[in-house]
Amino acid sequence: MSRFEHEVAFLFPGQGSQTPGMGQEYLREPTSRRVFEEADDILGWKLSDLCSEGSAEELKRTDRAQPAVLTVSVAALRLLQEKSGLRPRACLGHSLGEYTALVAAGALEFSDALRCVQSRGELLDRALPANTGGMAAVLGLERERVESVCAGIGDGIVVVANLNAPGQVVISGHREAIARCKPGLKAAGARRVIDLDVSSAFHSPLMHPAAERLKRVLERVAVNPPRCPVLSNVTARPHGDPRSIRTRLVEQVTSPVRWAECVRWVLDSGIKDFIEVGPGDVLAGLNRAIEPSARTAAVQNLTRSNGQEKAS
Amino acid sequence: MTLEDRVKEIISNVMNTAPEHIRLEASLKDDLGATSLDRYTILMDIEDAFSLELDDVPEEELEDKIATVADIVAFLKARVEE
Repeated sequence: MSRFEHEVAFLFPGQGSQTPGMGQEYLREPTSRRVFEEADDILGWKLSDLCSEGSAEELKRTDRAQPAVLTVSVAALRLLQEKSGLRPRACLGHSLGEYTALVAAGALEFSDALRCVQSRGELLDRALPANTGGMAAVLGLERERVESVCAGIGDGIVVVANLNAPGQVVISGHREAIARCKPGLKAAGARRVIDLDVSSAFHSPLMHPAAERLKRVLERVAVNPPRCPVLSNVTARPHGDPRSIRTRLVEQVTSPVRWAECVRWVLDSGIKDFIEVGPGDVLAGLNRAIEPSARTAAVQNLTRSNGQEKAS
Repeated sequence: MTLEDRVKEIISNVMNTAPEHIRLEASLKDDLGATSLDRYTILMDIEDAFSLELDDVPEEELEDKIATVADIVAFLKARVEE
């Protein structure tokens, strides 16, 4: 544990990180199990069952994936903090993970974050007719070139939705228009264009109906000043006061996630160690692409290793 | 440098691990912790190193075709001989 004694940032994944059985190990430990019990009570359905026995297909639904990833991540956070006593120097989360980051920094209560994320998932799901929105990862082409191809596509909307790492830009919009962008992206020099397995066009202007309604949901929850810097996906700078946190979270629904810049801000502040708190290791992979000298540990390696850690 | 060593070097650069830690039978995903982005990055670095175009490998086959380090080496050998 000594490697992480000082400066460590917590990373929280977004939708897409969910895997079947991701809650199982956290349901076995009393501290993390309580997070699932609280979630089941608030939601009125058994999220704990979904996270232990749910199929990949069930977990894929936006209205299920969002509360599930938040809850598993907070369960992992509580267990990590119980076992290690670690306090993050900065928190950052990708898309829905920004809510988890705000919970970790004390800006949102878990119960409130869960209510917000539940509504957010439902609203995103309903913002577009089924199978009309989509997203794709564009590899090996810089943002400006991607944007100019997308802007010239004519009918339909396609925009840059995630700036994940150098040479990894995610686009979002009308599914049919994304398909029409592909030859242009390849011609402009993209190495790969990979369709993402999502049902909608997140972080695009097509999500405006969801943003309007999410604003009303956020107005009803208490937001406190964060105890450490929490990076805003929209500005790639630390969040400000509670009122601006609400505003940024509403904007986030229709704005690109400036992920690489968020990570860069943390690195520039002198923090080189990260722990990815939640299911999967997508953000560790992005860290490798953003800055090879950054060290990223998976939370499971720190919470599973009781005996070894105590001995060392 | 053998083809095998070159592949290990490319993987070690992407995964930020020492080449001597990369065994031929290692699974990219399970043993080396490669995400899907890492696998595409490895593939693209291989394209550059060997002046090849591998974009005819469909995404859904990528995981099976290049599951281990040995798979990449075998796949490349077949391509280079063509």
